[in-house]
Amino acid sequence: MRVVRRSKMAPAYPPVAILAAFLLVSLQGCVPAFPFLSGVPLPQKTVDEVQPGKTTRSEVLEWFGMPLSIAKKGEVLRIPHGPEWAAGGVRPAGYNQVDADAFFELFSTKHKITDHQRIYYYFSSLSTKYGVVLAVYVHESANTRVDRLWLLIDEETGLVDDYVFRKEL
Amino acid sequence: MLRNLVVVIGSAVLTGCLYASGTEKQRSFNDAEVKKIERGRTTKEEILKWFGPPLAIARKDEGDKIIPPENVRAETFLELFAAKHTLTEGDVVYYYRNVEAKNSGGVVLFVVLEDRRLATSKLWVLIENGNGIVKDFVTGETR
Repeated sequence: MRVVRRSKMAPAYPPVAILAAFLLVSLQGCVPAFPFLSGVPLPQKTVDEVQPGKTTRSEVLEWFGMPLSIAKKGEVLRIPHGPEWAAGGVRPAGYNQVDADAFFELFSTKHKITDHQRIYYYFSSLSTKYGVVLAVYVHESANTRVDRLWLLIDEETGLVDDYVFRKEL
Repeated sequence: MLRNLVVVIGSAVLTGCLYASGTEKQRSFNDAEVKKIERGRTTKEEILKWFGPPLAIARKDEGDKIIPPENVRAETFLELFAAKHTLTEGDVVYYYRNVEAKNSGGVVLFVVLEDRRLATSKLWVLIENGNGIVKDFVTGETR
């Protein structure tokens, strides 16, 4: 019986198939996009230092900087937002319209809102996007997380009456 | 030979093919918390704790006010509850909204296909301003 041995150097598959397989594998993977950050940093430690009835407006400005919006009862606010990842691309920086009364509602259960109270509004936004490429299939998912801080400030006394901090999970 | 031909033709066909999809979510409430709302029991304080400040507020005594971001008269939101409840001056409606956008598209040789879908879930909560108790709530979806 004659045994035919294939040389160890001989290719098992034609070069075209190897090339096609290589191309197919190289086209797969995860594509993370660079994140967009906007607003101001709101570290929990700094927020915890705010003491209703004690912390002053100037301390707030020193810790968090200029408010991103100041709300007065009855007004419609234009709140800026930075660029964000959206389905299919980037949503450019712009403004959102918000009813200032919605902000004051946060404090309405504990405080009687007066005309000389303002809300200093800060946010910290992180917008991310991940892409998955599987040969000819591409899927991307965008997520924007916003931590928000509302400080009720009495313009007459210059003190923080109360605050609400919401971290988005 | 046949195998090479299949690989070449397959590669040529795939060169002109691409399918892409993307999703984006903006959420201000979740369904688990909506299930916790009890008519006549849940308080305004709990609503604010669970969902944060509403996107908009409609008050009975400010029916003509145009409220962002939907740019509708406040009366529009109150109308949702008008059939079941006798609304009083102090009653207030909190409005929350979730938006989910889905984009998908593909290129098959020389044809480009694209589909965009926007799913919006909305929540309206009617609160009796005197005692701060949730009188009723309504959820809705648009696609």
